[in-house]
Amino acid sequence: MAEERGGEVIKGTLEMIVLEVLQREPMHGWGITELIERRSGGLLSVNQGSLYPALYRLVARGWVSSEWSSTENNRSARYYSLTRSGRKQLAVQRAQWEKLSRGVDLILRGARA
Amino acid sequence: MSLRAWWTRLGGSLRRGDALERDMDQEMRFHLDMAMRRNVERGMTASDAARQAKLTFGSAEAFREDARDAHRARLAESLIADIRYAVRGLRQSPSFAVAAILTLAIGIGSSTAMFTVTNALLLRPMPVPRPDDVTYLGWVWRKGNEIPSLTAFQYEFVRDHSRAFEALATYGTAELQLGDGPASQPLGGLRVSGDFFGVIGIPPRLGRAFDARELQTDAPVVILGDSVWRARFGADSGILGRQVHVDGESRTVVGILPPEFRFPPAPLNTAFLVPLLVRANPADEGHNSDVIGRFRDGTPPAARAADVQALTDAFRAAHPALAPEGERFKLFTHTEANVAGTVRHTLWVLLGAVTLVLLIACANTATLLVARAWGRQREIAVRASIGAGRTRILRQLVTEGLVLSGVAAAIGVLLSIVAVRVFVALSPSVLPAGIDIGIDARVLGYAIAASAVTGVLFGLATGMPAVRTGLHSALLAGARGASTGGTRVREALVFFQTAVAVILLAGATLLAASFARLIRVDPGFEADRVIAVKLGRLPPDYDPARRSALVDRLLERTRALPGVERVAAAPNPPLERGMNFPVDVPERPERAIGLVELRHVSPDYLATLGIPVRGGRDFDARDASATEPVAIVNEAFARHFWDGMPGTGRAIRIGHMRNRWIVGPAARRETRVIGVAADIHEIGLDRPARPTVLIPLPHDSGRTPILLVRGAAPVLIDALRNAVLAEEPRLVPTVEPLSSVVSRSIAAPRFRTLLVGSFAVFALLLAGIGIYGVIASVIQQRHREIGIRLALGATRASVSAAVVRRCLVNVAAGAGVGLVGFLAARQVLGSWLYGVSPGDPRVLAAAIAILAAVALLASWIPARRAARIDPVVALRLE
Repeated sequence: MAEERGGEVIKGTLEMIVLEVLQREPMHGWGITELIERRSGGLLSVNQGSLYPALYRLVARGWVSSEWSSTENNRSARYYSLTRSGRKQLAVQRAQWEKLSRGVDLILRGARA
Repeated sequence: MSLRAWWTRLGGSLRRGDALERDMDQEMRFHLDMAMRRNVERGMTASDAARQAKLTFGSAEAFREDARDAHRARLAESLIADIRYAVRGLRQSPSFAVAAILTLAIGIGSSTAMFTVTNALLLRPMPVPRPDDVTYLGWVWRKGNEIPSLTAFQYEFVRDHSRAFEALATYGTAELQLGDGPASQPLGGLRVSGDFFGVIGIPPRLGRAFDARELQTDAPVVILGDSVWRARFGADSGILGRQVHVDGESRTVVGILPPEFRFPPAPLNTAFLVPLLVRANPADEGHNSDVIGRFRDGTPPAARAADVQALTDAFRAAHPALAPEGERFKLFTHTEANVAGTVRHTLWVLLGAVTLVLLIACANTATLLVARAWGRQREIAVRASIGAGRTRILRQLVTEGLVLSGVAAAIGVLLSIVAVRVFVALSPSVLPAGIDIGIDARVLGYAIAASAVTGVLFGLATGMPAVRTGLHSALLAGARGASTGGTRVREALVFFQTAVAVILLAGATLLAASFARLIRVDPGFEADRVIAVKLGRLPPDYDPARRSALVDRLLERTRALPGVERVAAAPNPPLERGMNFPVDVPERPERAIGLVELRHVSPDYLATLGIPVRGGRDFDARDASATEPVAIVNEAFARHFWDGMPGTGRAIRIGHMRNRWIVGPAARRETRVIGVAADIHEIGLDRPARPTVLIPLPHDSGRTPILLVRGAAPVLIDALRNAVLAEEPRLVPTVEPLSSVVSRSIAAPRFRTLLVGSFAVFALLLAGIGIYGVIASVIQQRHREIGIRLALGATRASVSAAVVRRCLVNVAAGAGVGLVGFLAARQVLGSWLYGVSPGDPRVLAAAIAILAAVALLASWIPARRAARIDPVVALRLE
């Protein structure tokens, strides 16, 4: 099962991760799943049941756009790509995340000490 | 939001529903396939790979549900979500929804029905191409009276002198028998002359129009209507050139009308057109030609007016005697020409009345919604506290109102279809034959507009308290469970409803009082003792001589029947349309009257009807053959011409006016008065007697007389019918007591009274329900407070009195304002009232009393419940 291979993506960060992944190139849902697993060294896995709703939400907010096109195997898939406002949003979220994780980190270290 | 993002969003929201589901399916399948392929690459068997992929993916349904939710979140700010939310909310309180929807549906239904009728009769243009270019021509007399028709002579003048008309025609409706044999029924059609097809702008579907020679010679030709052509001749185009029997005469079919042929003065399924022979005679000043014309395409209004003015000037120059200064041609619209002014007035007033009903229905629904909003203030407060803005909540409530009114409008339109049928069935014969009254785009537009306005109104009415009080305090109040908030809005609604209901109620009560007076009017003849026998259409082989022989034989035969006291013949029963002629007297020609009622009657006419003879005598058998023409006049005539001096023996001139013989029954000579009869209500129970002249039968009046039989009414009816059939079996006689004729003559006021009355009853009912609803909801809201009061020693009577008092104060205020409103608008009823003034205090007091009774009843029922509250239970509820 997915859980055996790694932890689930923390709620709320999934959208940021998806934006990050899409920054390089347009990708379909499956590709996003694989890329997240690969780039997190198998530490993170995405529950597809959360991935697609998250994608739709991003589309709805105008941060991501989608269109159908064919894969290298000539199958039809929906490709998601980052929009201009999605790019801005990614920067915002990344800054927030860094602040948050630094803070959490400090607290956790302090607690250990 | 960037344009691109906006575009994406728009695209997304346009692709909803099925497309969304399909996309989701496809995307999910793709994902599963890819997962499976990876599993196989990792060395699993195909079936394991599939199972594993599915497990990893999670429940397919759960995925879809989540995905849908994501879409919903996106749509949450859209109308659709609001509508869904509203529908869910309404489903949760079905009794509220049903009450509100029904109230509104009836309101919208009845007003849509009225609007449908008004639209069909008054607003819709003539159903022909370029209807704006089609016009009726009429004449304005010196005194300002006008008539939407011309004399035949004027018609020909216009036809020969107008420059602006592309086509001009005259027509008359006709009932003729098509085919022969006893099975053939009379069918409705038109006699036409001039360029009729040019005017209506639709050519015959087959064949051709009548040519000039046919029109001038009244040639035996006919153009058949589409439905008759299909039904009788199997849509056989070979019928052209063949002979058909029309009214016993053989006519050649020269054309077939197109199926879309609609000409409102003619019946809907016009069966035939035949030529109309125009006999233009300058001496005939009867305005008997209905004239329609079509202006050249794009003739501006100024050019039209100029042409009409030029026509008037030319006509006056050519025939000064026929067009004194001040008289002129005038253009009339299709509606003006075909729907009488009184009918137009009736329709507008009824439309106004029904709009008041709609207003009350809206107020009532608003009352319900406000009560409901206060019941839901906790829910609203919660939504506000989790971030819903005030405008957001208001919009939600407006949507709820729109959903309610939308459903109600749908039901209302269905109801209106039924109501229109009922209206048409009940209405007296005032509607032009060829107008089809149907729901069209404009009517639907009215229903939708009505429902949209009410929807927004409700939403705002519901939202107002929430916005005013502030959401925070609403939350607190809800928690306390004791609030009097929203009461003011509801009280305002009670006030409003009462005011509107009083307007309708006052109108209806006045009409009812007027009608009650009208039916007590003594018509001046003995309606209960006399039976009218109408012979119906005579078979085509009856010429005037044969007709009068038939009438003579029938008079004799019926006189011999047991139970018959007297028998007479007349052209028509009193109160039904008769003929009129200009009349003057030699000694006072300046008192000439253009419209004197003229009746050809048999001996014994006055005695049969029970009309007293004031001077001289009734007709007897000698008068018909007397060398000198004789007449009987009524008292009104004697009053007008001789200032009430005895008229017997004096001379009158029938058909004489302005120092010349205009038109008249045959002999242009003076007629001697042999008697003066008492006045009767000849032209309407609500109208005073008009100067009337009776002259003896047989006189070829061109119409079949009716028989008037005095005797023991009910038992004679069958015997009379049999007597007629024994004389001529092909007749279809109508036998009815004169009391039926009298009753029919007041069909219009009865119809108006009935309609306005039922609107008023409906308004009263709604207002009652409104008052009941408000008091009941106030009591529910103040349940706890009332409990405390009772616990503190208030008497049950005082508690309910306090609740009722507040409401009744509003009712009284509403009634006052409504009354003032009614008095301001009372003139619209003026012409409808008989023997009652529109401000009659006794009648208005009765209206207020009725309202008070309903208000008391409506508040007493819920107030009793307040008095029954058990303080212990009420306090423990929290």
